[in-house]
Amino acid sequence: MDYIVHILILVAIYSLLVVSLDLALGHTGLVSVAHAAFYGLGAYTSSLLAVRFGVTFGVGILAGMLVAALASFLLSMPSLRLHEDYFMIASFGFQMIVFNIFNNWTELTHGPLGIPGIPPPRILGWKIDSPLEFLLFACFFASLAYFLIIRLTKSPFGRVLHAIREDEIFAQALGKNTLRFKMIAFAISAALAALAGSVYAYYVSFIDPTSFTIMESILIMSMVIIGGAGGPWGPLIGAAMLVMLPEELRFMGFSSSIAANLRQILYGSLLVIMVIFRPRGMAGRFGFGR
Amino acid sequence: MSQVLANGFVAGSGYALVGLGIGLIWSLTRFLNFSYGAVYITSAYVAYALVKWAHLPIILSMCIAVLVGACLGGLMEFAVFRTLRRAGSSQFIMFVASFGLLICFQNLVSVVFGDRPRILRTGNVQEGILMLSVRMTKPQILIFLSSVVVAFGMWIFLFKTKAGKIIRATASDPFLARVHGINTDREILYVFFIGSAVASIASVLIGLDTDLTPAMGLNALMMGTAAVVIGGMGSIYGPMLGGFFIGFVQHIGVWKLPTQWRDAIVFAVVILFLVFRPQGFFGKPLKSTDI
Amino acid sequence: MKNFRCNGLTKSFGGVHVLTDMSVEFPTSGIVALVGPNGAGKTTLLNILTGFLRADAGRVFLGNRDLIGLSPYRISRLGIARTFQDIRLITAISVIENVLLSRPNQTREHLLSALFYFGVPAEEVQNHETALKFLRAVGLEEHSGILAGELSYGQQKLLTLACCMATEAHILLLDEPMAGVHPKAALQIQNLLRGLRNEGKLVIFIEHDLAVVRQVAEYLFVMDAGRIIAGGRPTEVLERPEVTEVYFG
Repeated sequence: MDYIVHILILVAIYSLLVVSLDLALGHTGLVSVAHAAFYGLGAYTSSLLAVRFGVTFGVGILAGMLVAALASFLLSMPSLRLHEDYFMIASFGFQMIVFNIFNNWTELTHGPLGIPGIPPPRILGWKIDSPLEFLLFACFFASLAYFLIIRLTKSPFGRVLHAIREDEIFAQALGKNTLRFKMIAFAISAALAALAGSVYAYYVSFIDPTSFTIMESILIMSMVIIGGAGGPWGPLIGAAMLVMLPEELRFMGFSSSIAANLRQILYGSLLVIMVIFRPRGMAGRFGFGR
Repeated sequence: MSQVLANGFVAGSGYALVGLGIGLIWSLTRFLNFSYGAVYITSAYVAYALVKWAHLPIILSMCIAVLVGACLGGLMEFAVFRTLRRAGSSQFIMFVASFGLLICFQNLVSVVFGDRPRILRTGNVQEGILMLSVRMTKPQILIFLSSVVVAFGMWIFLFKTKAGKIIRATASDPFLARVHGINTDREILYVFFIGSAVASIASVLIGLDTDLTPAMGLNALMMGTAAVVIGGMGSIYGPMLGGFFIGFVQHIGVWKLPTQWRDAIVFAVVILFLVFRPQGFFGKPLKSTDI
Repeated sequence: MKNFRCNGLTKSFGGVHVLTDMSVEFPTSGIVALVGPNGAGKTTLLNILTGFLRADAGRVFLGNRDLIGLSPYRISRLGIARTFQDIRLITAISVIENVLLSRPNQTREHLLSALFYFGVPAEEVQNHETALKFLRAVGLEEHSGILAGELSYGQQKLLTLACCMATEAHILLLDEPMAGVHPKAALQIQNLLRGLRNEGKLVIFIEHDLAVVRQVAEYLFVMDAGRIIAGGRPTEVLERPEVTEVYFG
């Protein structure tokens, strides 16, 4: 039973990651492989604040989101006005630099050793430390993000994002400051990824840089693509599929390292197959074709 | 100091070779192709398997590995990318498919060979030959020589042969090429063969010098992409210059800063280039402007 | 009314001079046609006037305001709207959504309003009415709910015109608005242009069909090799020898 709850918590955290990337990638068309960097910035910020300064989880989470949003401007301000291939490469560089900071700035982050002993969150004296309580905690934030993004994307603001995705020049000709819209969408996406990072950190109580690599970014992007972009259910389906399917491998008797590799092979093949046969993913509203 | 420069030079030659292949494929397909990394590791590990398991001589193994790599690249183009292209897929979709392929192959290698570093060398680690007060091992000299030979061979092929000219024409304007009756699909297939062969040459040689790990594909890809960005997308030799540039920057940078920041330095330089000179040294800038 | 003009515009692409010391002053309202052989630089001029391309030299003025260096969205907000030679629309959303997108000054396009304003603001109800009005004017009202991508070519052209009008711009720059369109739709468009003129707007359109120009345009500018070679009333200008030479050799 605990195992099922654990899986559901992971699905909740990944849904949050996927729906936030979907805002930037699915709705606005921004191709970025830096999502894991923002995920990590949230995790590290709230962990460090909690472990070193005893900061409560509410402040820690908000701080993480703020750090991620500001970091996103560092990336978006110089490079969003460039051609989208350049932006993708810049996001690649950004992701690697941030990972290097997590891994090498040992005075701050303990480097590869990671940060242990992250205390469970407290709400008015009530400690959240049982699996079911964590599930509620994670689902609360995931749902909050979901509703936020649905509301945003159904509004006129969202309509401009969709326009930018398909034809930015047309949107500019209609008087929309597309650069500003892109930067805002990207910052929100980053902040919500950081939120997921904080929730993750509180759940596992120990974080290290290996959870926030470029491969993680690509995994999250795969979930967006397989689940489908822009639709309300896509992110949830993508997260659920890619978290739950590989778990079946565990029961087939493979050693854990081989299972990890097989899981990745599963992701990779699923991606290639999806993209050839079903480019809109399982439940996507927008395709990525041009 | 001169040793640092020499090390930078060697590293640069490796990156230059990788960048050359990536740049060539990019100029005809126009999307960032991560499957290049898949070819890279497959050929290195095939060479390893041939030497250590089949006990074939090392030169022969390397040659076979290069051939395997080239064919794998061609196969990927034929089976995956051509299908997507015919279906009108966007560059993003092709990019996604390419990293799906990389993930598959990287993990396949991990399953078959494990994650421990594998050594391709036969015999002991050599100290390196002393030339002009600088030490370079035989593999390192080989890497540098190969980059020169490959670059020269590429020049002859692209500028002096008819097949090469057709490829260059297709690269500069694919639509016009098709109008003139050039079978762009076939040209792209050739370019995949050639580019993958270059990648394989780079990977077996670099594998000879350093060790083989499953992550080497992604590493090579990152450095190669950096070389292409800095050297210039769309130019043939720009990426080679970019490769040497990165090699120097890395080793000179590490001279002053701790070694673990080696990769981060390269990426910081890449971002600086993207912001201030996105076309690199010799490239044509990509613009998202109006007709 | 502000005066829309440019002077000394020069632009070359890789050694090819597309615009050479190009100067023109447009009337404050009316229907102006811009004609000329292919390669004369008409679309390039349009792109520079609307900020999508940067001139190598020269200035563009709206009243006293220098428009050089302004982003396209800024120029659009000053009341200068345009259509494109290739149809640009958002095919993934509905016909009416495209027109709604074109409406200016929407409160809920701002982040905080989008998140926290509950209910539908009065301005959006108004915008919906206005959007239907524009769709009616181009004859697309009954298609308002379908995806823009499902319209025919001619219908899409009409939609781009509706979007252009929906921006409430005073100056409309149209790049070949009737090209490739069924004659009946072309007549519809011509009537729309007259309607816009009657509202006091300035319509500048690039056109190849000289018969259309004679019927609809009040002023005519002829371009060749990057500069204006003639300007004035269509009937008069089209008789001039230098113009007929450029067109008919």
